Amino acid sequence: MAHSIKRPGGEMSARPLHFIWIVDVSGTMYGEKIGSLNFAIREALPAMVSVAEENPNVKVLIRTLKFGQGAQWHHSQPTEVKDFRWTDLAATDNGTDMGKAMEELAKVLKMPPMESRSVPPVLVLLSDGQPTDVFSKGLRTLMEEPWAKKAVRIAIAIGEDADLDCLQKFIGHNERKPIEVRNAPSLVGMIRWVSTVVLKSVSSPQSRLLDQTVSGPSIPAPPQLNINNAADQDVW
Amino acid sequence: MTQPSSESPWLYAGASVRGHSHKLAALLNQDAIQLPAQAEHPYPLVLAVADGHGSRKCFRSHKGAAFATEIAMQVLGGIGDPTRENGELTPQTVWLLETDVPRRICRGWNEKVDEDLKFHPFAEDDKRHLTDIERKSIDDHPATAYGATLLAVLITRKLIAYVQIGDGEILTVSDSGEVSSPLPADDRLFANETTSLAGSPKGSSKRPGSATAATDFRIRCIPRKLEEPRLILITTDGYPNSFNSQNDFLKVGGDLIRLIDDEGFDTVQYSLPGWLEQASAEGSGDDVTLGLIYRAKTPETPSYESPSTQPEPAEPEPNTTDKTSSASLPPVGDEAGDPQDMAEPPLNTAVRQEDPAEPEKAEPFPSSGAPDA
Repeated sequence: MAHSIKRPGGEMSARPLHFIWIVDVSGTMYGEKIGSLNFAIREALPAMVSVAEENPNVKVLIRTLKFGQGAQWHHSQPTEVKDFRWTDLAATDNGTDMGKAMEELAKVLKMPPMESRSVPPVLVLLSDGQPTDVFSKGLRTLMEEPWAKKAVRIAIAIGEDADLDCLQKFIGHNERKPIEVRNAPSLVGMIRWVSTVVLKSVSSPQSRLLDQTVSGPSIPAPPQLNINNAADQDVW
Repeated sequence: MTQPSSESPWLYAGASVRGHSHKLAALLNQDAIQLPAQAEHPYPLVLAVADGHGSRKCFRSHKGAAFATEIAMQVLGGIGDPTRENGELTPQTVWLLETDVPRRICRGWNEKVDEDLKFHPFAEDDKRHLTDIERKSIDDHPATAYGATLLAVLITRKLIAYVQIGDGEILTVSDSGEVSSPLPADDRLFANETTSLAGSPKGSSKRPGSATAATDFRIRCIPRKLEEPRLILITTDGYPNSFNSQNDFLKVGGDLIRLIDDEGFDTVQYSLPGWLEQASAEGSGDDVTLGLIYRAKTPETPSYESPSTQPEPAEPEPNTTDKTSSASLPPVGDEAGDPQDMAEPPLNTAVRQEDPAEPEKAEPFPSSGAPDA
C-alpha cells in the first residue's frame, strides 16, 4: 500500500516583499514634518505586522534610505516587519540629493541581491522640496533596473514646496499622482494607508498579463482624508 | 543494439491544489491539469498544465486554464509523429511544432473563450470590482478575463516536444540525475507578470491578444534518439516560487528520481497532493500544479544517487528492485512491435486535491475532460 514520504526539494519559504521608505532629511523637513513622519511610521508598524500576518506567504522586509547631503541607508538591512524597530530620523542636512537616493536604490534593486521570485517591491518617496543634485540622472540609473520598473512607486509630497514634477517622474505611472499632504494629520493618514492598504494589495501571489508600459501592479486609490485644509492645523 | 530508453514505458501522474492564500481569500483553484487519456495506443502522450492569472481583470482565468489544457491535448494529440522514419526532424516538423502549433492552440483557445462568452456574457456583477480603466480593457479585449499560461509536453514514438507560454517551469532529469530546463528562459517573466494566451493588452488587431500570444510561445522538439530524459516535470509557477532559491527547486528533480527508485511511482503519486499543499502553505501561497512523466528503468538504465549522499559516479544496478517497472507493462518504442499488440497503455495515475474540507483525501484525477475549477 502506498504511504506518504518526505517531500522532494530544498528549503521552502514565503516570497520576499521589499518595502523601502525613502525619506527627505533636508533642513526644511526639520520640526513638525520629520516629527510627524517619525511618529506616523512608528505608529503604523503594528498595522503592518497585522497585514503581514494575514498574508503569511509573503515576507515583508523593511529598509529606510535617507537623503539630504548625499544619500545613506538609515536601516540598511532588509528586516522582517515583525522584527523591525523604527529609529527616528533627524532632518538637519543641507541639500536634497534625491538623485543620489535613486542611485542608492538602484544598487539594491539589482538581481542579485534581489531574487527572481520576489513580489514587486514597494518604494515610498517622501519629500518636501526641490532636488539639489541631478535628479534625472539618478532616476535614469534607477529605471535601468527591471525590478525598479516593476516596483510600486509611491510619492508623498509634503507641503507646497515639494517638486511635484520630479515626484511624478519617480512614480512613472499616468494614473498615479503624487499624494499631496499639507499638515501633520494628513501625512500620518497617508503613511498609514501606504503601510496597510498598499502593502496588502501587493501581497497577493496572483499573476498579471505582461505589460511593458505600466509599472508594477495596480493599487487602490489613496483615500480622501478631508483634513488637508483643516482650520485647526498648521498648514505646510 | 537496442537503446534501453526505447524499451521503457512512460508513467505519468499529476496533482493540482488550491493555493493557501486562495483558501484564505475564498478563491478558486485557477490552475488546471490534463493527463494523457487512457488510449489504445501509448503515443502520442500529452500532459498539459495551465495557470489562470487570477488578477482582478482575469476573473474567469480558472476557465481559461481549463480551456488551455483541453486545447493543448487536442492540438498536440492530433499532430501524429511528424518525423522521418529514422526519427530525425524535418523542416516541416520544426515548422509544424514551432509555428503552426502555437497558432492552432491560440485559435482553439480563443474559440473556446468566444463560445463561453456567447453562453455566459459578462454580467455587471462580474466587473463591479474593476476600475474604469480595467473595465475598458475588458470591454475592448474580453479574452483578458480568461488569461492563462500553458505548459505541455508531447511524446511521440520518435520525438519529445516541450511547449510553454507564460511562467511556470518544465524540467528534465537525465539518467545521470542532471536537472535542466529544455526551454530558454524568458527574462520578461518576473514580478508576477507573465505572457498569456490572452496575449498582450497592447495589441492592435481586432483580436489583439491572439496574434501576440502565438509569438510568445517557447517550443523545443528533440528526437528521442538524441535525448530522452528519465523524468519530466511540468509545473505552474506556484511550485518553484515556494522554494527559497532556484537551487532548492532544482533539487526536486534528483530527489524525485531517488524517491521513485526507492519508494515506487505509486507512492510518489500518492504523496503529490500533500507535497503541493505543503509547498503552497510554506511557500508561495499560490495554486500549485505538478505533472510528472517518468521513464521507468530497465536493467540497462544507470541508477541515480544523489550527489549529497553518493559522491561516486552512478553505476548501473541491474539487480535493483524497481517498483515502478514491476508493473506488467509492455515495452514501447521502436522495438515494441505493432502498437495494436500492446496489452496495456502506460499507467495513468493522477491525483488532485482541492476540497479544503477533505484535505487528506486523494482522488483519482480524470484522464480526460477539464478539471473542475
